Amino acid sequence: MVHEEVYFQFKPFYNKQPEEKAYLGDFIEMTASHEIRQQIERIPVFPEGISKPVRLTSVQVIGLIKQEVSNISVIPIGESSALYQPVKQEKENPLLVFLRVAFSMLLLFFGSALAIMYFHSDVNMNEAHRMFYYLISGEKVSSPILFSVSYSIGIGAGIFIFFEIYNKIKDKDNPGPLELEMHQSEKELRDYLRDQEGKNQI
Amino acid sequence: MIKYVITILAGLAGGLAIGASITAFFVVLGVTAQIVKWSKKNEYLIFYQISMVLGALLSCLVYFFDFTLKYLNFLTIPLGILAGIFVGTVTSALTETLDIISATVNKLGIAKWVYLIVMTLLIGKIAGSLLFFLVPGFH
Repeated sequence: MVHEEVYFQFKPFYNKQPEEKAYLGDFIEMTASHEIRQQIERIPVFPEGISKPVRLTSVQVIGLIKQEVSNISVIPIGESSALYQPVKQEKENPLLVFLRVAFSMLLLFFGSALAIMYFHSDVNMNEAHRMFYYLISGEKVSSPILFSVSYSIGIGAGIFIFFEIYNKIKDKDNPGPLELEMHQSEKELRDYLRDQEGKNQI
Repeated sequence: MIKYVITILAGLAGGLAIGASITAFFVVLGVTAQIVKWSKKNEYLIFYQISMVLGALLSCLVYFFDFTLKYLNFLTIPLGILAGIFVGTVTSALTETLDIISATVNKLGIAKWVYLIVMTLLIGKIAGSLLFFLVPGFH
């Protein structure tokens, strides 16, 4: 038999339901000749499937492969461990989703309305607007309505620009700063869980 | 004589502190970065910096010396919108830095609806601002 080198790396996601039998091929990608790949991908890792998040390390994977296939060298690439979660299959109650969305909308609507008022009284915005109006027109008025109203509309435009909603309309897959932020926090959570799981296993 | 020297020094020091801190505030929040990114021309960065400095100086003029440009009434609406855009960017940058939206959305598990949520926020801000300026008694 020819001595072969097998390189593997962890897949970023696991996409089986909790009760499905999990094979090694669900967790890793590899370079190998056809027969060896088939042999490795069929190695059962969790015969009963996984119901809670599990952590796999490169050492465990190498051990599993070495048990099954001899006369090859197995080389890991990239991260030395990964955390996998089963796909949640429960159907979400649409009424509940609606309530949650409505709740967040109300919260943010009145929250932001109040917050901008707080901000305006805090920095004495009316006085600033009076001064600005005096700067451009030379007239002293008690409340420059025209300026204030266009300023209010401008606030909306500013938020529109900051969250790159125009990009969102053009191309749905373009991530704005909000998506990046959410992805970041999700990733931090996953990393934390993975390292914590590792601590428990030792 | 010594009185004037100390006055000038104190004024310079105060201005330096305020100027540096307000710039740091905008830069850390990423407001300027976002605006520059929007213009897609970062090779003209120096002009953006100069305009920020000039804007600050202009506001000092009107604040302390009763300065006016006069007869620019026709610019009221465009300048109002510009000022609003800047403030809107600052407030969204603050919201974003404090993770208010992503925390709410992640906790409640409604990541799909996040742009609906942002739109609500946007309309809420406009409504709050209009209320503040139009309803008598708010200021």
